[in-house]
Amino acid sequence: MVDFKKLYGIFVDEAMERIVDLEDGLLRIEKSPDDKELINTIFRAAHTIKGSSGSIGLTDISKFTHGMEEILDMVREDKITPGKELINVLLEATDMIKEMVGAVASETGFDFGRCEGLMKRMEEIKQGQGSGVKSQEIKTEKSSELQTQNSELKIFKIIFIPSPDLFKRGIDPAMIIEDLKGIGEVAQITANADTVPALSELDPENLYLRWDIVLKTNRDEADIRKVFEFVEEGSEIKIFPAATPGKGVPFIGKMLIDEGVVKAEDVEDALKSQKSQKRLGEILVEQGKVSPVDVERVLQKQRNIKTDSVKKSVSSTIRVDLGKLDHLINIVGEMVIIHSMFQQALQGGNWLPVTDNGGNGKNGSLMTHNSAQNMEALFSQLQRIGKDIQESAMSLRMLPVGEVFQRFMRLVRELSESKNKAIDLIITGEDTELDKGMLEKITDPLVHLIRNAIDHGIETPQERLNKGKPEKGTIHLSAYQMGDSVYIDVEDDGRGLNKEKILEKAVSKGIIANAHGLADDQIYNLIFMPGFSTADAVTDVSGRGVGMDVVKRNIESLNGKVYIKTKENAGATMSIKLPLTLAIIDGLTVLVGEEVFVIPITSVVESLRPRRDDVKTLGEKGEVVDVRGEYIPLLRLHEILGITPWKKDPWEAIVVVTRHEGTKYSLLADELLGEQQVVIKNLGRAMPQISDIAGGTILGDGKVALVLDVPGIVEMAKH
Amino acid sequence: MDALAATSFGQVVEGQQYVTFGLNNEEYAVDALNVQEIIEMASITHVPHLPGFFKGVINLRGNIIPVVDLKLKFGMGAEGYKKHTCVIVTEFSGGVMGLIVDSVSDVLHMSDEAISAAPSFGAKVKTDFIKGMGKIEDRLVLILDIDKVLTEEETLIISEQLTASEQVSS
Repeated sequence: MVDFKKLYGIFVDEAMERIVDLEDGLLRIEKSPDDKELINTIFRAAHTIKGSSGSIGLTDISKFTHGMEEILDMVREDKITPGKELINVLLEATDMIKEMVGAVASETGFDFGRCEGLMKRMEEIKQGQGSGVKSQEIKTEKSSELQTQNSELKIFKIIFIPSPDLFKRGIDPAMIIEDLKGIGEVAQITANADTVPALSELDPENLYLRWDIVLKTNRDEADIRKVFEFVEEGSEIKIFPAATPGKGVPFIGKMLIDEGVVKAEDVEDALKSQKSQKRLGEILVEQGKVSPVDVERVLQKQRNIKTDSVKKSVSSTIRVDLGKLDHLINIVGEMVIIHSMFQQALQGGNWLPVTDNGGNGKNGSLMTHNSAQNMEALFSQLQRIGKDIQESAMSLRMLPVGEVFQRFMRLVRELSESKNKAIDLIITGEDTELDKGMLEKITDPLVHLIRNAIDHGIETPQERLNKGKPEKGTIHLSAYQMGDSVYIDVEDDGRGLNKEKILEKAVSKGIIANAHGLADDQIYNLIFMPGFSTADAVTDVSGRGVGMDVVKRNIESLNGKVYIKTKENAGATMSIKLPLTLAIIDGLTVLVGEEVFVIPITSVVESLRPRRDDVKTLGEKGEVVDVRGEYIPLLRLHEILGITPWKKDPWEAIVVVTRHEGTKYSLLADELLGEQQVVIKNLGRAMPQISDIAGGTILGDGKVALVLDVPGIVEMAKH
Repeated sequence: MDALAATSFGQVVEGQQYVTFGLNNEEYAVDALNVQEIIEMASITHVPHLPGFFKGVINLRGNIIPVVDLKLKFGMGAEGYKKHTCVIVTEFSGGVMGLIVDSVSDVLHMSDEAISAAPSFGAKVKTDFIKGMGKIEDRLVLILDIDKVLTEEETLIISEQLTASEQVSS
């Protein structure tokens, strides 16, 4: 057996890309069903997954994708039209493939039985049972999340006592068993050799064996009988439908038990009463065994498990545009040349045309002068190349945002359907590039913002018509670069943020005492406070009150910012501003004692040296600095970091004013050294986590300087 | 060379290579497989909130690695760094860590027979750090279990210190 495991990583990467193609293609084909080229692309994606999974022994994926491919082939040959139902089935199938690939990536097992339902539906489509499929499909689409065990899968026990002269008739019983595999899964097969006589009495041309077979299939008894058609004569064939075994407690049931919200027996009971398409969760709720909230929570967890495995699996490799690599290699080539030029220059080689002054005795000094000049020229070239290399190396980590944006097509399509809203998603700036690490971390916040826009922002079609807006709402997702920041905007043309409602909520939740003196911006920013949720009802889409503060925190952890722009009844725009890369930041370097520290410039407001009168103490506990009439708490870095400072008096030292969560804090340092770009590195895996240190960077002199984490410093000071 | 000679006769080579180093007047050893490289004493950047033996971080050709002073770690007297003071860069289960030692003496091969079990008393160092005692001619070498030196006890001490400092400051 060849070990295919080594190839799994490559397969997973490739398959994930193809899955994106599949999903994207399916979503677009719905809008333009006549686009032949698009159908071909989708077909090729499915075909590639089938081929590559089959070639490394992942037969389950190959088998399943084959069914999908066949349907796509029929679409390609105009035998069926890609209607909504068909696309729903294919999208579900894509999800299933994604899960299977995810299971390969995380090396967890995958129960192929879960595919049977979809396989059957695809089979039905192939058989052209279009009308029958329709009504059922809508039902299964809704319940597919829950329905992990397909109830239509039946189990048969077959006792096959063949006629002894089977061999003489030229029939191999092994073929029969092979045929059985064709209509279902042979779960268990036992050969019974009880009737084999002693060797002396054995006729080698007779068949004495009998078999007990357990078959899992979605066909009925008649179909099984057909397999035995040719051997029926003289053989004894007994087929009993076996009871559906309880061993496969559906996933949701098991999770509810694990969570301790329901007893195992209740799940068993519910399973018994589970009708063909009903959700287990619903039954448990109806019987009052669990609350809907618990089911929802566990379901959420179930979904997370599904997506997590996929997320984890794709983070370790990156596809790089060949042009970028070529560019990098070119610059490195240039550097090699400069290198040898340097060597020549050092040896005093006369490699630049030098004016020949004849033998007037000045030649020697002129040469040295020229060498120094050459060196300087070379050095500035080297500097330029160094910068180029840095830039082009960083660009290798950059990926276009389009890949992530495409996923939202699906999200918007499904959510708008379930909310009965008509929404168009317009995507612009897909080519804008973002650091890979950042791209991964920005996905979840974006999902949340888009969910919010659909759930709270866009009105129902009726409401929109009443307001004189077009029936169909629009969400505009755009990315663009401005200066050294990348902006991602989520803009909707819905009802906009309601100031009064926000204020009312904030007061009732105790987030603010009253609305006095709050500017509009400050009011809108209240939605980022923990525990704030304006949704009147908690829905499955948004409004759990753990949304916007998490969004904000995630974005701030990337050194980014969120801005809100809104106009009542005209819509809202959430604008995310992100630095170009994660690893390089602008920092303010300060000296505390003998140590150099870097403060990320994103947290810095200004730096100043206060006058003696500007520093005031509050009791014995705290100090504040009066900055143009604003009192800002003073935190002494040397105290927090445990360092002996040179200067203890703020009016001799320097105060750096920082902002954290809208509140300003001033940090006292001995001296301000300057502002520079630094590459943040971690302090090594063996280093314990320290909350007020974000990492380290290597300074020009080769020494390590620590990068301060301003929120961490503030936390540290509070304790 | 010994190992090479032995294999050419088809014999199984037993034991392994060790890097030996000095701490005050004692000689210690770590498994050579754990040693990534040995570098001169570099300029150390102090990291706040860590126990004293955790000296800070150094720049190892563009990578930042933490360093531990083994003498402080073992509670031995330390009197500043000298000319021969160097850093043994080790790889252990928790990552890469630099060990500050007085001097590196040798890389040598010790057979398993030459190593006896660690004594249960009398050593300045807590004996669970010690994998065994090796005898080379008339010298005694204490062989360290680098994983134990740097992980279990280490994390314990650090978390104790951190919680202690939190309690004090809060």
